Amino acid sequence: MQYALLIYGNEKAWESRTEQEMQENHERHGRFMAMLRERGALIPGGQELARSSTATTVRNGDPVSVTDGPYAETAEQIGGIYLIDAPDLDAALEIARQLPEPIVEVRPVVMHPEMGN
Amino acid sequence: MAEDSLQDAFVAAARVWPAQGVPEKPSAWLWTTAYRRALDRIRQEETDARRLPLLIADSPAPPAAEEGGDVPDERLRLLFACCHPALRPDARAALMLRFVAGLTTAEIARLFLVSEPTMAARLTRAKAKMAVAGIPLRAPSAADLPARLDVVLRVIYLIFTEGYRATAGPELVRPRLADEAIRLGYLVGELLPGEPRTLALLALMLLQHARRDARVAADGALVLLPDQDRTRWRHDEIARGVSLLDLLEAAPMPGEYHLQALIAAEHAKPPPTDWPRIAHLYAELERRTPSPMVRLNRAVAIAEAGSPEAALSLMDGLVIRDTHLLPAVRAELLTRLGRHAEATAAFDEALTLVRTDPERQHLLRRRAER
Repeated sequence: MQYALLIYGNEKAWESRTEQEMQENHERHGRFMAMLRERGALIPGGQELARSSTATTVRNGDPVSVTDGPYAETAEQIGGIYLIDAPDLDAALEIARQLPEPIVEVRPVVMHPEMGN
Repeated sequence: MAEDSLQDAFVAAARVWPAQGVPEKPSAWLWTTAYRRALDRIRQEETDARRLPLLIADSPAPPAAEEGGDVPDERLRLLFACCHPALRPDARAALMLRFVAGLTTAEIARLFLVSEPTMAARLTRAKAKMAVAGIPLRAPSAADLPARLDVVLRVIYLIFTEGYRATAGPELVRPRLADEAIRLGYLVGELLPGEPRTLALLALMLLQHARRDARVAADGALVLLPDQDRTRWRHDEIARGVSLLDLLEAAPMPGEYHLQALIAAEHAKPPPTDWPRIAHLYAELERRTPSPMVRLNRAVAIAEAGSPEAALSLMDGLVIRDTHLLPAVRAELLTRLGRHAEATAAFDEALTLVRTDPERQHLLRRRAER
């Protein structure tokens, strides 16, 4: 099965990191990805996201509205996504536990065979 | 029964050791064997031999994961799948009763006082989560087992307590739900033998459930422990619970259920109650799992043991919302200490919070008596 690991965190805490802390976090993610590759669990497509203050939300109603900021203004925001392949939820949770981030939401990915995933 | 079981274990040892050699830790081996024999015996004694359905037609389809080789038993796999931490607690309880205990959806709906469509929807949602999220139909790894067993036992105790003192509905006690919880406890003890926590939970449930007939008066009101007619207790069940506790004596460090069971066993003894021992057990329980309710119970035990002042100071700063219990206990302690003005104020506070009529009558009577 495929799962999306949605990384949540407090953006203020992320922003207040020192250069060195960011470097260390970067290295931890590097090791995490190496572990995923080694297991054949890494699916390309995951990315780090820029801060929610740079987001723009489009509501396709009538009229269409375009507003500054994320859809939900909460203290914790999505900071990045990994896509992984795991045999079951327990395996996915075990991988999520190794992510060097405070909150990880594990969401199954819906498989659409006709779309080739 | 503990003695019988230990006897059985020695007999087994006499048979096995000469052939296989003495195990590395003979006492641990004896203990485990005695435990298994005790469970066997209890099972034989169970008159209700309703078969547990092993496989049910509408059980969630196992995801395409490989077989979990080390645990072959289908029931064990169902047990852990139904109690997966990724499921909501109420869904876990419903799934356990449906797929492990084999009750019908209608029966479970009645037990939880919801309509059948509501319970059916709850089960369907939970099964959808199991299938879509890929919750494996497999026993956890050895590393995860202790934490996952805790969840299983908590689900069973949740089912039990809902039956023991219902939080909603016209009846205060629903013995059928408690019966099912006890049956599930036996099943876990059978599937995963040698787990002191399971044994302790079983002892706790048996000891509490043994008082079911004396806990409710003819008019449906709850009868408190000191006022219960002890002849209506199920003394055979008390003896069984106590035997399980005897068996646990050799087990290391008593856990939460074990301590609660020891307290229940003290209360099941004929008077006079050994309050200093109960206070000590509550202190130990508070050290393990601190909570305002445990602190309150500990304070009551200390007061009953003869130190109302110490009890009162133990309750300083304690907050338990939406219950009359805290001010009611404070009122009783202040009365004993002759601090009548403060006691009256505490009784009044308790009266603003009390929800059932029998308890209100009790408080009014106590306030007037002084």
